[in-house]
Amino acid sequence: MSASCSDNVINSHPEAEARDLNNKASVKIATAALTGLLAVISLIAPAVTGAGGVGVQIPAPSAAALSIPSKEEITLLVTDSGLGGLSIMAETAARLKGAGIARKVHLVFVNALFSNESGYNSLRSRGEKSLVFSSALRGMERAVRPDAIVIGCNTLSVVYEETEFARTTRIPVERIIDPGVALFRRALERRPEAALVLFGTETTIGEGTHRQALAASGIPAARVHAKACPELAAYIENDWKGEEARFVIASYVDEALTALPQPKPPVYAGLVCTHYGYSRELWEAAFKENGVRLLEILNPNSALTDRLMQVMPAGRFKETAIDAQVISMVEIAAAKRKALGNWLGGISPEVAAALANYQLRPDLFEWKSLVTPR
Amino acid sequence: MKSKSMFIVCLLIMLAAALAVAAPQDKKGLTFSASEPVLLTSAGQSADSQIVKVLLERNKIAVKFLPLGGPEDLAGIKTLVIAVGGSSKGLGAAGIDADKELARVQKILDQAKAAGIPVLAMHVGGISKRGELSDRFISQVLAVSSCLLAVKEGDQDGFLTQTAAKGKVPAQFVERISELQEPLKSIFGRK
Repeated sequence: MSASCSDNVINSHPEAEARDLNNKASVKIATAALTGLLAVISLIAPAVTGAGGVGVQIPAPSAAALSIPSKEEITLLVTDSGLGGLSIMAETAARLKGAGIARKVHLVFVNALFSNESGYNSLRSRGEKSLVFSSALRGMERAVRPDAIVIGCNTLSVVYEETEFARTTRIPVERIIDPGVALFRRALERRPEAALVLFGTETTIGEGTHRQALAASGIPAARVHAKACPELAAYIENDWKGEEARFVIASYVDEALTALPQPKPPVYAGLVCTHYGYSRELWEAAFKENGVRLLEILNPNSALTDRLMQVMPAGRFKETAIDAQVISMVEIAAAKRKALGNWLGGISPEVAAALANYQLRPDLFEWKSLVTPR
Repeated sequence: MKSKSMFIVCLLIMLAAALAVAAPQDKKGLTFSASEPVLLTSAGQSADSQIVKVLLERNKIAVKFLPLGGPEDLAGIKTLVIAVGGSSKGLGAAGIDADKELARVQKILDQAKAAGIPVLAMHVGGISKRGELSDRFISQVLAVSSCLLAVKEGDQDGFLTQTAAKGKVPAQFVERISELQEPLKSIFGRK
């Protein structure tokens, strides 16, 4: 299994990437050593993998980790840095109504973003990201007392395992990585001639978690490409069908497809940022403009909801009452709430209403003392 | 009575003509022209530079895109295009702060001036790319630009117009980003 995450990554900031090479080299050596150790262990011990193959595996929380207690009322917390995860909560709300998993489900979305002037991708190091996210999770736990947590964010999902919260919590936590990897793997196995291009934030792409997991499940690294899309989530939040989002998506798609080898294979587009699915039509248009055959847009958001429905104990009640709440430490502009509310309302009026009436809690969690100012 | 009406009509016609001459914005047919190849860089590190890149590429304008470009990257370049817009997230992701970005932009502007390379400033981010951070870069770039193309929404308070006028920079404003393609075609001789 390759330990390198830098293959097939298309950079938007090549100069910034060059400055980090020396630091990343030592990380890659350590990663290679750990991977080799895991490979040896996997040969001598039976393994059940959440990624669908036997052999080297990425430690996966998977279905066993998310064990919803058998209570009549359940509180399910969904978190994201920004509002992409709301789409997951909306789909979950719609599907829970008839699932009968509880008499009542309280769905609470908590925005893990700590500042409108910054974000996890702007933090200096992995260490800072995990410290801030751990603090956010502790704040959420105090405020909401959830029965389970769903990390509806690829960036935070890749950071989660390093948090102090992950090491000590008893609350079941589900990440979006595993369902995403399974979705991508199934698609690539169906079409052996196809390539996959992952679009995500700098952190998600830089960590290479999806690519490592796919390689571990037997997908050749040459079939998987990755494109970091700085700030795209912000453009989509402001107006998911607007010109700015359209042009920025077109630019990133063009850069990604230009970097593919000739002759260009048919392509799956993997959206590994939970925001990107809001602008599905813009992604389709961008691929059409480039003349590359797009087989399908693969959005792990729905795969995560599928996973939640599978692991929750269904059929215990005739129907489930849903209420929804949105909490944020930072202000969510009225224009954003309106734009996304229109999208969400088509799936879950409860979640759309919760966003419109969100609760602002400026002291939800501490972060300033955990980061080095620039 | 008839001569009084004629006088009023003539006065109105003269007034309309005077207003048309006096208004520098939305002027169709900028006299500014530029050559290729172009170096496209950012002033402020917002991803608006990606938008400008698409506009240039769609009109087949030869472009070298370096969001963190420096003076040495101007070798062989005929026009410097700067996508102006500040983003704290963009700066953070690029590993720099606003002061370092201002310094970088100043170096490339100084080199462009020394080499006689015209600067085309583009502000496409509308109102979201206005504010204390962005306005610093707008002032810096417009002080030495040869032309400004911008989306009107970013000029609701007249700051772009006034800053351009101060530097005698011809400016054209459009309603939508896609409408910037026409002036770009005109500037680069694609019409």
